[in-house]
Amino acid sequence: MLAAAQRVAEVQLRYAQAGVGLAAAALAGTRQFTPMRHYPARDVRDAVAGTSFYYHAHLSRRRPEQEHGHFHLFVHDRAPVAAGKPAFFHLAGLSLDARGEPLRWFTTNRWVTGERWYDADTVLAALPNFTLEARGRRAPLARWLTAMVQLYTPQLRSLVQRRDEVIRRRLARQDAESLFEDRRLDVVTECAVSLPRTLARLAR
Amino acid sequence: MKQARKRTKLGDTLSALVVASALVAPAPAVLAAVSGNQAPSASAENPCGPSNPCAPSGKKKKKKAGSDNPCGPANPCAPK
Repeated sequence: MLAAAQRVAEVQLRYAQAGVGLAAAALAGTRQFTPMRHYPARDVRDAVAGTSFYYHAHLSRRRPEQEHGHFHLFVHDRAPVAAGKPAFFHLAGLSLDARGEPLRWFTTNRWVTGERWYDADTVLAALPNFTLEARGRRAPLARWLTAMVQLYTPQLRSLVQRRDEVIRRRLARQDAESLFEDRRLDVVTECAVSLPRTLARLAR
Repeated sequence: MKQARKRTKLGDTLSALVVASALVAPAPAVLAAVSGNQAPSASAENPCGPSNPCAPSGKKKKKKAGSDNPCGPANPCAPK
């Protein structure tokens, strides 16, 4: 945990010393931040680890006021899947403010990413080995996200387990297909974070 | 002892981060509206799906605005 905290702080410090926050780093110099567009356009994909991420924003009314945009983190299937079936699942989303300070982790309903839906046990099995490595200017960002997942592993565990509880409760009164495609349910669970507080607590 | 050293190191990095963060400029805000050909529709079926590494490039994607996974992962293996 301390090592992850150190990596998070170091990457953020290097960006900050250049006057850049994580949100600006995710945009990698883009001046026009277009809603829904992925940054980078084809995502950052770690073929070795079978993971990927991208940053974007929507103009949803349900978007938290302070949110600038968010990362989506994915784990891709290694085994071949039937044609037309999704070959990935969504691990979590991470919202940032305009200066790149993390605001919240969140999980989403299936329709949001079109993922293959797995229960919490399967999703959480990917947590301990979740890494993202990238080349080029988003490499530090990938390191930061990897360390953020490690740093917030307990919160992510709880978040995904609570996601399943919400889904389980709703399945008692709604059939699975309509629930997973229910446009009224996008963010299933969320967890506010304060990185300065998390780091300060670990530094004590 | 080792743990204490790590804590001290983190404390030092954190102090530097607090100072440096004060100088961080906000990132450009998301545009309020875009023309239809700039990005997938907000009503897309899977608005937050990963890019499909084997999917057609962005231009082809625009033609498929009504497809099932307008925000799906980019597919590096798809025909160009």
